[in-house]
Amino acid sequence: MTTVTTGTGFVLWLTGLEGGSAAGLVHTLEAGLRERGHRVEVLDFDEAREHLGQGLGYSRAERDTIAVRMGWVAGKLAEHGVAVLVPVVSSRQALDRVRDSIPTFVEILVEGAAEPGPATDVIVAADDGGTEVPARRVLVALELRGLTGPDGGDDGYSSAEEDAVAAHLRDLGYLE
Amino acid sequence: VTVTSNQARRQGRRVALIGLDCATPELLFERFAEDMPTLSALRARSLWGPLESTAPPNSIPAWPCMLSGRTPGELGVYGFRNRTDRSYDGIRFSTSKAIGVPRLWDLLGSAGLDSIVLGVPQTYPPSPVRGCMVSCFLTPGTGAQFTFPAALRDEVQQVTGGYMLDVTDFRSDDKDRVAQQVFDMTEQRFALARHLATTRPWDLLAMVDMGPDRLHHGFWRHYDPEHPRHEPGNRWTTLFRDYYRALDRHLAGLLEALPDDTDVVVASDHGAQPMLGGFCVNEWLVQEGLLVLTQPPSRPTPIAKAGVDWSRTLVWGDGGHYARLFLNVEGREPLGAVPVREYETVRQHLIDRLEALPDHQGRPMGTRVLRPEELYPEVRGVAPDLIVYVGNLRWRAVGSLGLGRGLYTFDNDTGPDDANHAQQGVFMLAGDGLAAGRRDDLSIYDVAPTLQSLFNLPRQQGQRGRVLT
Repeated sequence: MTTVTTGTGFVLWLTGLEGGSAAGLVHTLEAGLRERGHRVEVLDFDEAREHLGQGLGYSRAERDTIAVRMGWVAGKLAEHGVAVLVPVVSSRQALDRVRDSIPTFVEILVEGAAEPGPATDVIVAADDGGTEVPARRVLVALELRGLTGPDGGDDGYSSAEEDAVAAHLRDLGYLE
Repeated sequence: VTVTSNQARRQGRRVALIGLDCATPELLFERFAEDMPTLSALRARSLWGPLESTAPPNSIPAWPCMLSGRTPGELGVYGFRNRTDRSYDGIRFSTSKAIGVPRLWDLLGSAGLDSIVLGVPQTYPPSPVRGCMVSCFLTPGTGAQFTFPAALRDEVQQVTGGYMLDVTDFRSDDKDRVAQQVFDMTEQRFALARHLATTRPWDLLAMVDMGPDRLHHGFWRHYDPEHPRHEPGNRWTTLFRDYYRALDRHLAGLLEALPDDTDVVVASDHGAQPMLGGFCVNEWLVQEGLLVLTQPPSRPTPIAKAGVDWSRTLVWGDGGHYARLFLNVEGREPLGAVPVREYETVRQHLIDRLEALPDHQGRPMGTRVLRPEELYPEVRGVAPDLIVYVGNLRWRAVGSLGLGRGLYTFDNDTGPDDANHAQQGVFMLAGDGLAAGRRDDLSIYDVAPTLQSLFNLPRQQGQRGRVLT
């Protein structure tokens, strides 16, 4: 049974990675998502440079331009239900620009050595600025966010949001 | 010139679905028909009639059912909140993530067609669509991400001058402000629909305005001489008429901005009727010895905080426009007290007792008690064991305990609404070459397959309803 349903595409934007240290984590994430039935695409920066960055050099601004273009492609893929992994070194401004354009955007900030395991210090930052969770629980975190898992995940509200909705519905007389 | 568009686009049509939450046949088709010349003219060239809603007739599940062609049982969505498991406190709000089947805009997107989705209930958090989406009144606030794409949020805020997801602080005695917000929200919702429809490509425009629902709940008794708490000559007597005249103007403004070849649908999720009072369903269960409390509350207390002795409780209820009763079944609930073999006996006992209940003056009440498995072809999720329409929806089901007023209440503290929902909403479909005329057999489940057919999209496996065109 596939777990891919309409609207479950998302973008994992992995930042803070240096060269080869990204490979292990990306591979782990990719394999885990495929196991869960997702269609997965990994956008490689060097490949993207060839196709999306012709004529661009290696300055920060030029790298950011490529990163933003990768974000556009990733967003389009995510709209069609694909889980997109984007390991890229980009500025905060470029990241914010991409984040604002993709509702199912998850930033994964990797600090230090990035081989997945108990000692890996990876942070998953929710796109709404929510709670950060440890890296080795990346896939668990994604499940909690309703992005993976057989049942489509949780209900979509944080406890604070749920309180806000409950108060509103009580005002309307819908809830006791 | 070579036309290279896909088949659906070439043969399909353009559809504007204008949803009016709680729009009621008696008001739109009769009482205010002359006050709404645009709507009435549209109706004259429409296939139209009362629209049988879902059971229960509530914004959720009715809107997602209308736009997916599935029953609440198949969606596993029975109201604003649903039990997530068999525990006593596992209750969560319904979000877009609870809908496991494609809705109309998902099907269009797969066919390469564009949708504008605005304010349609159970679209929070917004999901990626081909086109754009502004989520619904169950969005926690405009601080949350309520649009897709995310960048649309700024545009919405700019166009509307601050988007109103819903009327705020509805329970306020400040009726002037509440009335103003109802009018403002409707004006803003139609203005935004017009903006979106004229600034981006679309094949489907699906919008829902909550204004009629808020008007009905807030002001029905002021308008309707038949309402038991109506006060003749009150200052809000003409508010309904004023509102529906304004709504008609906004409708005219939107229709004027749509391309001439647009098929137009006006639909509501349910109707409304005067609320006669509130019936305290959990107090009744206590009186019947079916619900046991560790200590009776001395002030109004929701069931979740009332201190239930679960090991001795057979049944508890959740209140609202209708009641949902849950049996505490051995081996199913953590401290189940109803033996499995007695499940049906207890349910039948409840049905017999509730349907025989008189009102506060000893008159027949007409309460209906429904079994989910008889309502729905499939019952998913954690469904209530029984759904109760107190007084056939003319009474509110009060879930709180400790009101100290017996079984019947007429106090605004516990029954703040003037109106309860009714089983029939409205439907109108006007388009070139489509049949016109009144129909009295329309079902909310007919909407999705009918609109899909306009786009040449096939019926989905398991979808209910008929193609009306």
